[in-house]
Amino acid sequence: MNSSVTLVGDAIENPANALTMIHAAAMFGAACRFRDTKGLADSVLFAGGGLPAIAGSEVRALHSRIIACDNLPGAGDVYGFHAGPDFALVVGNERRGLSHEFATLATHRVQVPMQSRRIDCLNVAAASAVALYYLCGPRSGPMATRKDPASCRPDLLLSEPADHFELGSTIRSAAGLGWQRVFVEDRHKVWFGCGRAVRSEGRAAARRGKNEMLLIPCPAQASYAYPRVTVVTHRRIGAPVDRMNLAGGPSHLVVIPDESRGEFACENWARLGRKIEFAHLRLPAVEFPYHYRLVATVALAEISRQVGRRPAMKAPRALRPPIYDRALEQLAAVAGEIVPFEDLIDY
Amino acid sequence: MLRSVGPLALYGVRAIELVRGRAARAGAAPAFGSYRVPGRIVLYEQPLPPWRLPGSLPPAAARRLEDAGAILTPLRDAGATLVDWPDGSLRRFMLEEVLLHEVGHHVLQHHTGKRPVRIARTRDHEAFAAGFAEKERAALLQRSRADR
Repeated sequence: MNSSVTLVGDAIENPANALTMIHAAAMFGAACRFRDTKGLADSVLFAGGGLPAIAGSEVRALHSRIIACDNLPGAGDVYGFHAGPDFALVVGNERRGLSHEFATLATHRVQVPMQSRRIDCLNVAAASAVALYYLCGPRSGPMATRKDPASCRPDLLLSEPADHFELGSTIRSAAGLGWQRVFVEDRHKVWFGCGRAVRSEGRAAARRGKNEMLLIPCPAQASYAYPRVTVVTHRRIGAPVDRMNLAGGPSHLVVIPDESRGEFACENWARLGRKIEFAHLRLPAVEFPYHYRLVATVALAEISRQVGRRPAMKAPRALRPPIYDRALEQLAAVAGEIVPFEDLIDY
Repeated sequence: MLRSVGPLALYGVRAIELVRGRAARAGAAPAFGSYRVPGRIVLYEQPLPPWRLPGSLPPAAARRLEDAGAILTPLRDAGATLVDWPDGSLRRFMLEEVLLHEVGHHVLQHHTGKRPVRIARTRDHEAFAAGFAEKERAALLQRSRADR
């Protein structure tokens, strides 16, 4: 456990989110604690005193750097932010964000830059995982700037999702990070053709009310002819994602398989395209409770960083109102007189 | 004098300011006034005469000052020009020449759209202001003669 990094959840409401945050912290070897103002400790998941609590004063005593991850005014991109070895990462309530106390406590403010107008934030656990990846993980550059980022955005295939909550959160992340359409290979029937309860829970997790993402169902074991296919995994296979070019445009397919059921090894990836390559997330921990939304959102954030965004528009400068001066014209200089050096003394 | 120019010319003038500043710089060409869009006329404080200006004045400028009542004496040995303003002629010059000229700028600028943007080339703006000042000065003179 990396005791120098603490993930702090401020007034988290949903116990499932809190548990996933603990697992997200475990992915990066960090501690996870909560400021509980919403009765989280009384929930079934944390019954028996299982919730690690912390107060604002304790956070300040433990860490000199307190990094708030929220879309607060003045927050910089989490990409390329150098956090140092010892810090606390503070994330806020699912609906209201960080409390005023924690927002003022923070020494730095970062955010995961969103590319969608309608989905303007990620699931709190997914956002925690992305922030921890960029703050604890390998140094990465800032977000790319391109004239036409859409032309560099690869196609995305979410393969074999095993849980509707996890898939819903991943779809929400994909929409927030700029994807307009996603292929879903729904072999376990968690999205298409599922029961009513599962359907409504999944749609809620995906924020389907305002999420206009086009979801395209793909038949299981179907073949495709993409020139380049990249399979992103948390296992140490292939090159690290931050060392690969994942901004290959629509002719490039990125596959993010759900590895919770252990079907990764026996999958025939060659059916998807001509050139198959593997990329892995550089996670400090080897063993951790797997959540599809965490791994997928980190991968999507890295692709989004590489794909980039349009350059910020420069606001046109206001024209200076004209000034009309009335002055005497430039004075003409008097014609000079040439004096020989010998005569200069007597001049 | 402003009354004689009429309310239409002064409509929209926000301020007529007498300020100290640009003329005080030694060796620089004296600035008399300026018009700052929208509606701000600035008249600069002038030093007490006589003025000792470095170099010689261009003929057009010299003629304008002499028309306003100044007495110009070129100091050829010193490479300078002495400008004297006898009997309140400097005051008259500032009012009848400079102030009317700036009001002319305002008339063109304000009655062509009220926007703080350049509405004519500087050359055309200056020409209009000079023409306006000339016309109003002539009217002023005619009125004073009639009063006498």
